[in-house]
Amino acid sequence: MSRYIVKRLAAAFISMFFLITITFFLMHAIPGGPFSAGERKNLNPKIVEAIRARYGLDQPVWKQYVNYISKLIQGDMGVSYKKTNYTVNELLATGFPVSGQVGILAIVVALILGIPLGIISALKRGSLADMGAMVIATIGISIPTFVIALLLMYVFCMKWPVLPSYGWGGIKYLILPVFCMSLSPMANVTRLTRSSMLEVSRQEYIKTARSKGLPEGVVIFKHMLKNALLPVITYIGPLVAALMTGSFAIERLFMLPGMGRYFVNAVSDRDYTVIMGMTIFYGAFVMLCTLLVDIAYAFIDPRVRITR
Amino acid sequence: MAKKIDMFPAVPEPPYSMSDPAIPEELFTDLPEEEKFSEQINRPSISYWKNAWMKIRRDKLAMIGLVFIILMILFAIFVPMFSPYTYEQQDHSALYQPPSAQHLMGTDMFGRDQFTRIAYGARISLTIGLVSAAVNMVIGALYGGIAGFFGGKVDMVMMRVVDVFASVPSLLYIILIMLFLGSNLRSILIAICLTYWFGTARQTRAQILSIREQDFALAAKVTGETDLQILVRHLIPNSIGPIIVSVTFLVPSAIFEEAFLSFIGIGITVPVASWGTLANDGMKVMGMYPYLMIFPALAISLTMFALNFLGDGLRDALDSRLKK
Amino acid sequence: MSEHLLEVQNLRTSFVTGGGIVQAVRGVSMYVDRGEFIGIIGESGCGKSVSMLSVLRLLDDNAAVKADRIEFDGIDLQKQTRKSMRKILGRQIGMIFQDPMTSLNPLYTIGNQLTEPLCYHLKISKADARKEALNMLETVGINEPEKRLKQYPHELSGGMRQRAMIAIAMSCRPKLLIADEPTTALDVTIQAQIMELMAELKTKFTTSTILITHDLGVIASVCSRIMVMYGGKIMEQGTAGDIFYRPRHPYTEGLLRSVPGDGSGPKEKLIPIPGSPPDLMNPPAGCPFAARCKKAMKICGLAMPGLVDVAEGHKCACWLLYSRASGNREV
Repeated sequence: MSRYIVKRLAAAFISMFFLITITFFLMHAIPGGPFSAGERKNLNPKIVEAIRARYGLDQPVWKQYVNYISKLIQGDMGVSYKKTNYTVNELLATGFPVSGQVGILAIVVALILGIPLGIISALKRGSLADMGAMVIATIGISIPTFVIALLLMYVFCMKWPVLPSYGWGGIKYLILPVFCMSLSPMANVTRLTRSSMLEVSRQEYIKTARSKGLPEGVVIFKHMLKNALLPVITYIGPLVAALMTGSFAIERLFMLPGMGRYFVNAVSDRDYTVIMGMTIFYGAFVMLCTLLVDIAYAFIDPRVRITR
Repeated sequence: MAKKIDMFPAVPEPPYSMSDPAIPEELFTDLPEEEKFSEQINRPSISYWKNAWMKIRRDKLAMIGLVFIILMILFAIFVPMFSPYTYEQQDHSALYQPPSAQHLMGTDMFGRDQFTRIAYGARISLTIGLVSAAVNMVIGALYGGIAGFFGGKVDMVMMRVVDVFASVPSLLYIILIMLFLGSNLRSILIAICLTYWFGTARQTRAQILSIREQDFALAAKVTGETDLQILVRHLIPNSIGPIIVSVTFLVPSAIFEEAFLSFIGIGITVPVASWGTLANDGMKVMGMYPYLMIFPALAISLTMFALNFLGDGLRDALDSRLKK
Repeated sequence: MSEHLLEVQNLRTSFVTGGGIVQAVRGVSMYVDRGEFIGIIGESGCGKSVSMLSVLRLLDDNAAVKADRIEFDGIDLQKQTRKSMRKILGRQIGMIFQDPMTSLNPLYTIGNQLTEPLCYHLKISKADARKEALNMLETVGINEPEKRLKQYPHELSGGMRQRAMIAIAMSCRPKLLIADEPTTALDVTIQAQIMELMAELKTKFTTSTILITHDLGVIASVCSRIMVMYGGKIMEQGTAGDIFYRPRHPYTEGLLRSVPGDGSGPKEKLIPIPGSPPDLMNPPAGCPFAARCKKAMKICGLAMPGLVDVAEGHKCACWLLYSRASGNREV
């Protein structure tokens, strides 16, 4: 087991190396830079030169790359070129708690609502409850997050102003963003749970369980659900990474001080250090989540042999 | 739904029984050969695709989705052709007009006709959806198919590459590409195509691998078919259904992505409008002129609905595992 | 009250499918006595498994079951609620399925799945259930039972899994064991071992057993009474001797000719039955086998013959047995 984890971590490090390298050179290949004169016409070219020299941007790209990597190994991801008072580490440290909190809550809501809805709809296949759940699920994947957010803001902040439309503070500020963010994963979880419950319910071993005269609850929750949740677990891994690192649309609409909000601006501003920092963070997070999911999977499904 | 079906059709009283003393002698002569084996052919065999089409035709939601998409395509083609307005034509005497007979969906801050603009948006969204799905299917299916078919080291290297690419936030790629190529339809298409094919590739590979393991592929090998023949005659036909289904769901995802990009302001540039930019513009004034936000939002959502229903219907029809 | 352990009269089972109603079982009557080992034989799709699953009410929701009588050990099974039915299943009636690869839940150990019915039906403690489980595994001939209890289904061979499945089905010492093609998915050598085991258990626990199979070879040595099913109906029934040495129905004869037996030595010719079973969505009015029968007469397509006694305990449904038919035709 521990050997497997070490092996996977090593593979993740290699992947991270490629990820960093590709992103770094791709980013630099794009015309323009954080202090390119084109953007700030009023700046004296000499000052720009001086700034570029200060950040090492006047050096050849490969040298910048070596510098970046050697600093990165020491855990230093540099200073933001736009928000010069902040290091990238600080930006991540302030942004991640916000994004992570909203993301975790959204996932919890999605699972708490999605799994039972999927189970009910599979067990009562073809019933009104099934159709209702499937309509909700289809709404969830059909309406873009930002559209839902706008509609909810219109209803709860303008027509009946009961909730704050933006900002960060207490629980009140969390309700709308979390709900908006959880809708589409919830819909996916519902659909996934339903189809995999239906698939499992056709298996022979369910007939065996019934032929043993076990109570229906045991058949459903012990024999069906555990098997049916395997695909859901696979789906949760990347989902956790995606939601916890923040949604740009949600964070912009509700003006949350999270990570996602920086990202798009950083890319358009060529804020190299922030782009790299976010990419590394996201990539590492995705790989970690995948690893955790694989380990969890191996604990649940004995057929998956982890010591390969 | 609640149609009462007679599960146990009455058995007609047999005209003769064993205890009958007087059954005509004639009936105890040989049954003519042509009356034998007649049951074998009374149910014609139906091809996979015909069967799938029959299933979809019975699926009401999928049919509604299909009809809606066809109408939307017609709307996108013909409304801009025959509309008295164009998407960029401004009318300063008619700013922020609510929906009326002249302007079915009202006008925006420059007096542009929203109905026409949404029809143009439909052109953009549908093009993006359909083209990127088609490109994805080709790239992803080829890549995954090659990896799955050759297996071993080739497979491992190819899939590692996919893993690395897939762990990059796709938004990063898209934005970089958009910056590199400029904000227009072409670069959105390229960006979406470059980031979406991983999923299709992974899925195709898994399909091919699982089918290769099945007995009929082995049987084909035993009967002396070459690898290429097996690929063409068995692997592709048997995995095409699920691949088509997943590609169907790519259409809404791509439309979604474009709307999102335009919504956050890095997609299509003014004055061209996509559904995402229209919704974004509408958002700014939604307190005063909600119709400017609601119509684009409705256009996106209803199209998504239709595509998802159609996708679900296709999945039920094409996925052989769900066959009764 | 009858002497029979299980008695079924005029059982009919239909399924709703996309294409229409499939009448899978069309009026089957049968019985099993205490301690009896009977066999039901027929081609796949002839309704043999479905009829047993109908009796146990284990079919999916798209099935409908109707019968004049389904009585088990003096209890009317049709009157049971889902809940009271569960007290019978697993406790009084055990069931074994065809494919041991798929009939055990892959996520739980053999021990878990084996002690499950024990704890639930006999209300005994986990520790006692474990003891009983060990005992049971030994009884079905699994070596190293301690180790096997902790193993998962995929760690066992096919034959071993089927033994474990039998152990589960027999764990509460049911009065009736229904084995649905228990050997079809196994190697021939393992098949023989499993059949031996079942015969052994039958004597040891005096359990009545119904063996469903399409394999004549399997059924010959162990069953005292055999029923031959075709097209959702019983065609012929009798002792193993009746069926194997004195078959009266052309279908039974065809079945016997289509499998290698010990009859005519190495030069024996196997003769397949031409054609395929009838479409039960539109079942024929007459004998379902008429279309494939070499001896079919005009009446066979018009009316279904009733089961008539041809000897003590030997019944057959064929127009050839009609008194006037035998006059001008040889049977």
